[in-house]
Amino acid sequence: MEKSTQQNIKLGVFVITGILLFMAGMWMIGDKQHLFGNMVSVYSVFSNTNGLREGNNVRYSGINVGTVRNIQLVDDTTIVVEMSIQTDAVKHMKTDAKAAITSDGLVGNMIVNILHGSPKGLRVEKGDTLPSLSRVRTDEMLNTLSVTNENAALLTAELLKITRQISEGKGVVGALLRDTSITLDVKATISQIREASRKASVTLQRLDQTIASLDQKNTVIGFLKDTLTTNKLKKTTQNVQVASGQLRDVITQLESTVKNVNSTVSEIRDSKGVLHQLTKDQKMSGDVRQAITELDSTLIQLHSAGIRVNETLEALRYHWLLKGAFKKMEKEKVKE
Amino acid sequence: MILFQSWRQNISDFLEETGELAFFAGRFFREVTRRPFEFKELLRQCYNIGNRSLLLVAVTGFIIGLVFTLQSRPKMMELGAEAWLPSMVGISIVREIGPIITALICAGRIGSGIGAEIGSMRVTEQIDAMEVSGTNPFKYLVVTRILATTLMIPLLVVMSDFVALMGSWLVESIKGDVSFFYYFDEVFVSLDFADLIPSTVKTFFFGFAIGLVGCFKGYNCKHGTAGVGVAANSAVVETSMVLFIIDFVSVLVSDLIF
Repeated sequence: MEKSTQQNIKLGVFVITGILLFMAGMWMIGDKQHLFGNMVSVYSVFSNTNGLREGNNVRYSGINVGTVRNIQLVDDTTIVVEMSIQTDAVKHMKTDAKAAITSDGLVGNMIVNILHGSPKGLRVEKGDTLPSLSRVRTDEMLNTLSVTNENAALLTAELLKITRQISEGKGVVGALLRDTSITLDVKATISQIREASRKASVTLQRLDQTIASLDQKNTVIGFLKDTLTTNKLKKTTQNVQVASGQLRDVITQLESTVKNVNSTVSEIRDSKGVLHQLTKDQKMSGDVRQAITELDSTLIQLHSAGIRVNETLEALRYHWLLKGAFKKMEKEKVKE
Repeated sequence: MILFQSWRQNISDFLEETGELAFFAGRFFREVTRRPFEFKELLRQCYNIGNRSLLLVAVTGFIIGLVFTLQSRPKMMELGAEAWLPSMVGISIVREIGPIITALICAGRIGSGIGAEIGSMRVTEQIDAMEVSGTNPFKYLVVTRILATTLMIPLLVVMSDFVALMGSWLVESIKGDVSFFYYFDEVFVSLDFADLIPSTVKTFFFGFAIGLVGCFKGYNCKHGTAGVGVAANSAVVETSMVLFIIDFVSVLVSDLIF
């Protein structure tokens, strides 16, 4: 009985292990075919699918992001390919991205390769149709190659004719090859060119030396190239600029002052006030001058009278009748 | 004339045996749905067929994966297609080599065992005794064994595939410094449901054929103990033939469906 139970347990382990391995295999295959993730259907229209099959990979930036879900022949030149692409990958695709059917390596399966769109393009959404890029087929390449071959054959035939004519001495090139005097002229020309190039080389060397000497500090260019001098010059220029700015302000202020004076003067001239009369009426100015002279003499007389009053008051201080009052006044002043 | 008669006799025997086998299968389908169900015997047979064959199947599978990769690797390297080795080995093992090799091994071990066991019971009249005692020997001996082989062979094939891929990866790891995850990633990238599902479905037919032919040969065993050896031997030979026919038909059908 116990043996039977052990056998059943072992059998259970065996069965579960087998089923788990099978399920793991199924899951791995499904995962590789992007069957279990969040997928979005995107379409593209081709005129030739070049052997693309349902289940083939869809690649974006070199990463397998989905599979071909369905291929539908709409008419003789329109084939709609439905691609199931991961949502995470679709987020980065633009509506102007192009879908091309290419081969996965030299002998690999066909794949849909989605090429990058422009950064300004809109984001691809579910059900969008991407523009397709037609691939150059082998038969088209061979056709082009055939035309190229025919052209090459015609060119070779023409070249053969030209070569024959040259070897027979016909035409300018033939004459060049046949005529010995031209050969001598060409040799002399080459010799002259060689001499000219030698002289040019010497001239260039001298020019090079001259340019090198300019770098020394004792020359004007060297002085200018010296960074310290340049800095000083810059600073001086800045100071001059500041000073000229200040000078400009002063001139502006002076101009405004002169304008004010002018306006004041013109106002004085135009008005009928005292100053205008003083400047215009000579009789009045003479009267004023005389009045000032009299006023001056009056002031001198007042000054001398004041001195006399002071002397009189000083004498009164010592009079017996007023002496007490003056003392009382002095005490009050001290108290204050 | 004698040769013609011999051929005629052989063809007649073959057709007769095929007919008997068909009736035997029909009786199985009748009995399998009828009560009583021999669950304990079914579990015992599952254990004998599944668990006890696991070591043999695993070792064989491991060696097949190992040898297959070792043999293929130099040629693939010559072609510059070394990177395709995991895909090639994976598809080969899952689609064909794993199921057929496991089935042939099981035909040898289990088919002959069933044929010999039931045959010896027949010649020693144990089956007759069971009938006399009221037990249905067909249900107890045949139905349980055919069901057990039908259910256990697919599991053995799955395990054999896994072990064979492990053996292949071991060679790739040693010779090509290929990591476990990269190897199995390459294998499963190249595999499709159209590879795994038909190859798994056909293993149920393989298991059924192994059980059916083994039980048929044993149940109809004649001529004493010498007949037991003949039954065991013919069970293996005929099962192998049937396995290849089933394999061929399954490939045709799966090509039509997928």
